[in-house]
Amino acid sequence: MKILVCDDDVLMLKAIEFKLKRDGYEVLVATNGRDASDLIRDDNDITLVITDLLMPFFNGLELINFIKTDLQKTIPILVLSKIGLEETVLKAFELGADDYMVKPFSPNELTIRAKKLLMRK
Amino acid sequence: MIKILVAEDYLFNQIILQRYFKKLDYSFVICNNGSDAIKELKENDFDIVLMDIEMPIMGGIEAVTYIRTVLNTEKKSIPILALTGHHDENYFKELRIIGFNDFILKPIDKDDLVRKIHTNLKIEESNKEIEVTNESENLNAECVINLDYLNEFAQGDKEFITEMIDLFLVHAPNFIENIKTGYAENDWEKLRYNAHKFSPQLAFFGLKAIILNIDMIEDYAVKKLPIEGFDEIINKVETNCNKAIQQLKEITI
Repeated sequence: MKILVCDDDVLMLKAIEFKLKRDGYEVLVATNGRDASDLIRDDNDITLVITDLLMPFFNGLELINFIKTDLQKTIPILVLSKIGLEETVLKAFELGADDYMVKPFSPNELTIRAKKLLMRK
Repeated sequence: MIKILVAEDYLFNQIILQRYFKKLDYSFVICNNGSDAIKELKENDFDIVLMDIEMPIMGGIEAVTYIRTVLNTEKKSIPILALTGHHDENYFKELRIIGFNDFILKPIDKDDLVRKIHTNLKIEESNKEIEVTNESENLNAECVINLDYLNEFAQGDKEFITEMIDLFLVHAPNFIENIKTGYAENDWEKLRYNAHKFSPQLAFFGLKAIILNIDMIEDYAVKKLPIEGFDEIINKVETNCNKAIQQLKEITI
């Protein structure tokens, strides 16, 4: 199982990568939406995308839209953002996000939610 | 080589002690509670014990009582130093009655730690060159590190924790600088972005009081409304962050 994690916060990226690797997953990382979109377009083995929202260049909402609308891919997407505003959460779901967690989050909860999304696929 | 047994459940102190002992070329074993420490002491030889008071499974007072009464003659007389945050003479007297030889105050100061170990092992101070630092100076509750949340990711992997600390030490000064300049230049987007990104990083180190101020800064940057006392909040964030950075620098090896 290959998971792509996209976040411009390198500490957050490292922590999530460490946790998911401990859980036994292969993990790819990207520090912006543009790099993440290239990886998703070119790699059909990615089974889950975990993305932040507020990022420079190509933000998380644009990334979700790109995956679901432009690429027409059905990969599950889990949003991990510090923004918990209802408006933003709804927008993410409208665009095609499958799950949403607010930072700071429980790493064990992330494990369970990621596993559920992967099982659904 | 001095052989030290430590019973301490708090991860941050474990990492600090580990770092100091490596630097001083001491041999050491760190246990998470009094029960494990007793087991270790029964099976191996040590010169001195550092014992936290409040620990899960078995606390320091129970452990010291056991060591002083149950273990064989040679082991029961080992010097034991309490690791405590209570700065109270009556409390220290009680600890001595229970069987502690001395105490080391938390937050742990390296100079105090070495001096107490040497005094209780009757080693002359001049035998070892000690670099004196006062890393615990001017600490207050607002900038005391807590690694519990980071450890939820790390699950005890100290190497990963050290890598995260190193990364934080690289990035935190930039965030502080960007928040300051964002505010000085009325660049609300810069202020918002940097506060937004800095807050989760602070969460890894349990810096809740700083997070409250940073979240306040982000909130006002979103609304583009400075408030009375904003200068003070920015200054407070900078001061407390620098103190936290100083503490973290002390434990990176």
